[in-house]
Amino acid sequence: MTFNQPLDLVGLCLGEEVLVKLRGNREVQGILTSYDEHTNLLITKAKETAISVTVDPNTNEEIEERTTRSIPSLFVRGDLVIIIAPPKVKQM
Amino acid sequence: MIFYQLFKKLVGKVITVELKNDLIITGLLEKVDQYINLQFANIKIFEPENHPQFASTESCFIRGKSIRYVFLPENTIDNELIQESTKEYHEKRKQN
Repeated sequence: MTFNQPLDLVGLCLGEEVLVKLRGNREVQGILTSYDEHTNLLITKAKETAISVTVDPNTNEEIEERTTRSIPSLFVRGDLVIIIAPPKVKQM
Repeated sequence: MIFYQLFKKLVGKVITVELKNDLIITGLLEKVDQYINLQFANIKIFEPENHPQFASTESCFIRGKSIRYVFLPENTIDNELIQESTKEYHEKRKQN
């Protein structure tokens, strides 16, 4: 593969598990099955996580709440995409 | 083009769309265009109590730009075929 543009890196991930960060505090993890130049995506075996951060009034700590949905085959509109990356690797 | 082809294959099937305003609509896909604008028939709104304005709506046109997700039925697409088509699509794009 010749690498001329950033989208070629996305092509490397085809068929692999990816973690996609979306606008609106959402993430989708799953297998990248298709993509186009707008970064519209087709993710199979997808897990979509909605993240909400609230501040505990007593302790002033930030509490992160994650709600996950499993979707076997998910089309994601490209204009929402922030990052496409291989999933987080656990630290040794 | 590649997603336009994919959605053309879904015409006549029942799919669910989540819009950017959090509205979730299930319906029979009637038409699709190059912008992934969608036309639906026999729609059902998720949590209709929260959206009473659509109580009597049976069909709708959804502007592609307003879509967040489309939930596709599991078995409608051949994943490996799509992956191959995607690779070819991007190779052609680079040549042009």
